[in-house]
Amino acid sequence: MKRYLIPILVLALLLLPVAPAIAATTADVTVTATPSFIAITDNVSSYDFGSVAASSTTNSSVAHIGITNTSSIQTDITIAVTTANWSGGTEWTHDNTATAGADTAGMNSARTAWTAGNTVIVESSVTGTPNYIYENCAASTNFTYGISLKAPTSFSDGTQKSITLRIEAVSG
Amino acid sequence: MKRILIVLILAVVCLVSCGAPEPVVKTPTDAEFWVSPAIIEINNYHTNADPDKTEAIVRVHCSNQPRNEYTKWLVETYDHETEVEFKLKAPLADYDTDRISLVSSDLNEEIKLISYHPATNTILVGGFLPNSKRYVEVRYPAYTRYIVRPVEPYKNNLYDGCDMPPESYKEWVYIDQPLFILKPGEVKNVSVKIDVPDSTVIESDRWEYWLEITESPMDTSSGVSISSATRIRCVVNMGD
Repeated sequence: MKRYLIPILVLALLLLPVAPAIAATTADVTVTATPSFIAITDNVSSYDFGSVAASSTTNSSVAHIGITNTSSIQTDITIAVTTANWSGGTEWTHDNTATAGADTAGMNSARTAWTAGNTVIVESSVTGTPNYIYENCAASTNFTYGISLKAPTSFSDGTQKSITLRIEAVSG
Repeated sequence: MKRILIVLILAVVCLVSCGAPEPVVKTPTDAEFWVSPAIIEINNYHTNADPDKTEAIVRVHCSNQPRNEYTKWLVETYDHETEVEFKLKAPLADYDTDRISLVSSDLNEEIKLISYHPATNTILVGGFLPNSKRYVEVRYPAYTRYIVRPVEPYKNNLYDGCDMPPESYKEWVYIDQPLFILKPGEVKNVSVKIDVPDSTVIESDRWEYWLEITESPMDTSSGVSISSATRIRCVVNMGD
């Protein structure tokens, strides 16, 4: 029996350095980061609604913009425009309730269909809050979406207006 | 008894050497723009902590796909005006002016590149007819410019048990290279630290801010410019 005790003791000694590392407390600041990736890209860089009439609503196809999401973890994906106004000539105000007005435009987005319950208002990240276009999007899940413009009820000029739309992904 | 002991010893050795299996993390392909990690946690932080101890490395990978920019401008020239300057939004790849393509919608004029100014990323184009209006199309290979900056998280999307960051958090975040350019396929390691002044009182025990990494948007002249951004959660757990 004695001869078995020696290897057991040796093993126990080998294990000893492991135990304190787990149990020890320290005042040091530590940084931890779990290996994971956020990877999201869109397949188009712009969308042109073309010439729009006052008070009109113009929808793109819900499959128009493709998102390749190869993130290794679940993500929350939001959509918003990055400014409060549409630039160009007399600027349009971007309305965060997607309600058109004089020189005021609104925008919606949708992933599956342009039906009530599927649309998400595209707010300004400056004056409003980005909304989820895909909450709890599973890792490596691609999807498509479309955008819809609610044109102002009246225009001050015919200059082309521009705005930047942004999809943002963060771990969910 | 001997067999039992041998089995026990083997089991212990196996447990020590193998440990728990590492979770498999699927790396995006080289064709993707990606950032890593998705979440950073700073633990036991206190306001007089050495900033170097808070360092986290964020990796930013540029897609290996060549990026070709296209812009269309409406250009009007006036009396005696034959040259026009244009600002390129994305950095010209390798400063290779031979690969800049210029086309005018006015078939009566032959526009051509006169010069490129890297400092301002502008091109001077000549050969325009005065007193005329036309569309000019510019195509060029580009590199990608990235911006890394701290941003406020959304109140409705905070990490487990986290509060919003203290008001001055942006002043405490140090990013060694907040702006950089990558060639297709390149990876950049960006160092991020925090340094909170000693006298600061932080009410929250656990707060978070986000690091936003964005690619410079593609050139566009149409209505809606479409872009994407990735955000990393940075959680700060305060110590005693």
